[in-house]
Amino acid sequence: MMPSPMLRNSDDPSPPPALSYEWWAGAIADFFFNPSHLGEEVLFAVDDGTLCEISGMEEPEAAISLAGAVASLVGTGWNIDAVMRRKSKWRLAGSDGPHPALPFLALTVLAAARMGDDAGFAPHNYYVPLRRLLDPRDTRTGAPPGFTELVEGLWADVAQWANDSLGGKRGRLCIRPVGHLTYVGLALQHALVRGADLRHVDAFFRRIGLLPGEDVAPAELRRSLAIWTVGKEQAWARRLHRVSTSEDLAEHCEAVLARAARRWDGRPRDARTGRPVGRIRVGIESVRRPAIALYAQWDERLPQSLTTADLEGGLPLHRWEGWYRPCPLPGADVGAALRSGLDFKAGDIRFEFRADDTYALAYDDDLGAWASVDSISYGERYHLLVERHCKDEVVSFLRDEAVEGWQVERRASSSLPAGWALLSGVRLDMRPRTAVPPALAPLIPVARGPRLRVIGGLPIGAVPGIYLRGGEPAVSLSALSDDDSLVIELVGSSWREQFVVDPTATEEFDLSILGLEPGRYRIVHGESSATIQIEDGIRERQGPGAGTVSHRGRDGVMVIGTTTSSSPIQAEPITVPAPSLGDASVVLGCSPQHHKVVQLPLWLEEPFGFLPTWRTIDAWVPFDAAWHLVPNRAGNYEALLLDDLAPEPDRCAAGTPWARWILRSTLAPGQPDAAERLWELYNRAASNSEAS
Amino acid sequence: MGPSAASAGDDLLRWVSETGSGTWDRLRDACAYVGRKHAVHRRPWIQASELSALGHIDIDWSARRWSVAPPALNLVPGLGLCIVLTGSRPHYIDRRFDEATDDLDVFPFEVPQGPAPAARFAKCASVAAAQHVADALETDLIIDPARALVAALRAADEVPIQLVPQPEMDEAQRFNTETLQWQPARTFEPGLYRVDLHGRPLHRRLDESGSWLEIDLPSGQFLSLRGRKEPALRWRPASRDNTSSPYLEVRRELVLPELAERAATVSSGFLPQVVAGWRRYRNVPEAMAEVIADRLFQKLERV
Repeated sequence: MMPSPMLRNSDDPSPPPALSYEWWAGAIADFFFNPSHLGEEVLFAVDDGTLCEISGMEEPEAAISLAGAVASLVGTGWNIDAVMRRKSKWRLAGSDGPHPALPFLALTVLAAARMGDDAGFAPHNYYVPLRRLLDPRDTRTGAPPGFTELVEGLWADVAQWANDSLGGKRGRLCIRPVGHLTYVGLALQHALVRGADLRHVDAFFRRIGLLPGEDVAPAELRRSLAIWTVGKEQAWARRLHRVSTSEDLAEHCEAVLARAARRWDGRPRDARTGRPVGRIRVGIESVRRPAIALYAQWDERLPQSLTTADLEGGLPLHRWEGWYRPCPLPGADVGAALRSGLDFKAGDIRFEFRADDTYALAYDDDLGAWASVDSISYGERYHLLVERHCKDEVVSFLRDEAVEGWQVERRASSSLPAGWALLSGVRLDMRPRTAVPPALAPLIPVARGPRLRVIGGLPIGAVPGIYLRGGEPAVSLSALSDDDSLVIELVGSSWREQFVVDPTATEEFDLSILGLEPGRYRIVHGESSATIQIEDGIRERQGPGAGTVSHRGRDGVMVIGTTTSSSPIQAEPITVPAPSLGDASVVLGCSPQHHKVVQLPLWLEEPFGFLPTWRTIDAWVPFDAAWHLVPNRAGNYEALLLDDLAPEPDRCAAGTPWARWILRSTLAPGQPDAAERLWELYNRAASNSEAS
Repeated sequence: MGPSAASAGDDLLRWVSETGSGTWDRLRDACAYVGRKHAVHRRPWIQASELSALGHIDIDWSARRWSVAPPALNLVPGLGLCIVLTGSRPHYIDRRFDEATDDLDVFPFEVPQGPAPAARFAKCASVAAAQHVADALETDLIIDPARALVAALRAADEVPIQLVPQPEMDEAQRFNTETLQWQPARTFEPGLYRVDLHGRPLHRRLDESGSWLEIDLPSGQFLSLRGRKEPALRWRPASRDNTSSPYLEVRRELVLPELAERAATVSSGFLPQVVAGWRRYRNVPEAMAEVIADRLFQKLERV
């Protein structure tokens, strides 16, 4: 990694150091071509903001520095042969280190980025800013000398270096024909979106309901981006809209989006460098005193400690649970952040806070405060921080859908930044049945979006898109299409059903009502499609982590389900012939305390709804069973030998049920001789005890 | 086509069985889905608590995590050799259960329980046949699980507690031991209090010495009811002809500790019925009811 000039003392009033052409070559290579892009396409999106990030300088110093470095090589007369010569020398020396054309090509992309946002792509709109980068007094409009002859070769050579010499290990550079835009198009395709524009890709993926790992056709992503950005007035949205709607740039745009989608894990990532982006959350500690603040969130992609020079003139951040301390972040203008977002750099990591119309705040145990979250879960309580112009539509929606108990916290207004309102205690228990207002749409995974979207359901397994049979999701129709048919196909078969939908009225189509058989299904609405798989199940016994939550009982006994870690406390029951309906049988042990009446559990008829029949039944006897006394047809009890146990009468046997049952019973016919002798002993014991 | 007769609880049980474990947030979302699909308007925690009471899942409410219990067969006294399937019940366990019970000596059946998961039984001809089913299913055959669960039940005053700050009075509700209802606290007297901490109910006990203690709801309720004249628990024996089982009844406003709830539930394999303000747990033997009452410092009324 090249040392950053940002390390100089920020109080130093002297001009920034002149950075050499070689320094820029190394820094640009490190930034755009790094191992996190392994095998992926590089988006060489050079703009003022990116140059600041690379160099640590402020605007416009960074661009001036790059231009100065290039001018030091080619001069203001555009001697591009100098770049060619340096490249040849570098090749002869073994192509070691960064490609020497990178600063020059970066300048050509920077020129494209400086074309007016609404300007067309005509070459004359490009050469003016290109020329003025090297010489602000240059008023000519044509291509610099040698530019059209050499620039394509330089792009091709850098692509060969990245793709072949480095084997794509630091990313691949793709050279695509860009319609009729010869020479200029190669720079334009990288410049049409700013690095900062790509930060919105995370919100875009969330809005279209993209699941991490989900495979979506790149053309669908591009079309969805076009829809998502249409009508948005911010400059970034206009640029993204232009790049997603230009036919000349379609292939490039799709490649960029596909790469970002492959990498997306539900958390923001820098599309240019592939590095994780830290998240800043807005929060309050209490509804009563909603002192609003910002918090830097830690996740496992981020280091334990960092320092940011962008806050408080050098603020160390240390991980504490799921956050960075200090909590909240000191020195941040929350009102400004709510209006226009905020970002800061700490080491290599950029943290960002996206400006939104509504924030859902959930209580965070670690933080001890209510902090903003990406989406709302059903059944959980939130406070909503809402921009005033959206308040009415949000309130109207909550009246229809939220569980009673939420309210507009009027007292809180004085504590909030101007133009914001706080709605407390908001809870949705189910997916809403009415249309979700745009201000809440990014937070509630239901509203219709540009792409056909799978929502809800009972997903199973680690691979996204697999649903339990009976737990089929709903699909939210594509806002791109006014097609009135929804098609469901069983992949690999001819089964296909077409359903009529009203795209102007129907927001969702519930797949669970179809009772689909297990299989892989493709659902198509207009040009948008989604694929889901339905399974009866995928686990033989239980999913991962089964039995990992337990209850601690008395004496350290652990309980999971109905299993306890204590040793068995009861002997198994014995199986005996079942008594007839309305009768009882008796199990006797050898001691006068050992007798058990056995009855059929006729009570089960009520909960079961039927009465089972029994030939045998369980007898739970906490003693060794010797005899089973069973009523015969005449209603008299007959004794069947269970075990050859001698009687153990005691003085207290008198009048016991044990004695009475013996005396009222006779030995059953067909019992072995030993049983006859033993029964005689039991009779004698019962008689003696009776007599005593 | 799909299992159309499945209840919300059946769908939820199958999902937790496939998923294995997870956060409360995921389980809550699954509860919301099945609630909407089956048009059952019940709070997610109620649906989850039923799965716990039936011995299918274990929930750590403080860590907001849950896991499914491994599948188990339970041989319960008083059920006439009808074994009860608890724990994980994914599709393949259900199928293996059907295969394992495809025998003249075993008769499998299930009994719907409204929106809760159906209770799954197999009537066996002998204890050996029940063991055979367990072996075929490669699960444990648990003998008299309720007894072991109750033996593990901690007394209400044995549950770990810790000192906490006094709550704000205007946010606290006090548990009225006469009406068994929560009402706004007007003064702080010894007893059980509920405070809403950022959307989650927490329970606090003010003891006689003036200390505020964090406590779980069941322990807090039953400690508060210690010495109450009106019984909170009662037990009735079986009818002479056994057409009515012995049962334990608990006032419906009260929450039993998890192990007691599970023990009482697994005694029949069914969730309790609510009868005239009481929750009725069937087939609970007197000895077990006595232990539960004793550990909760309650007098067990015989009816």
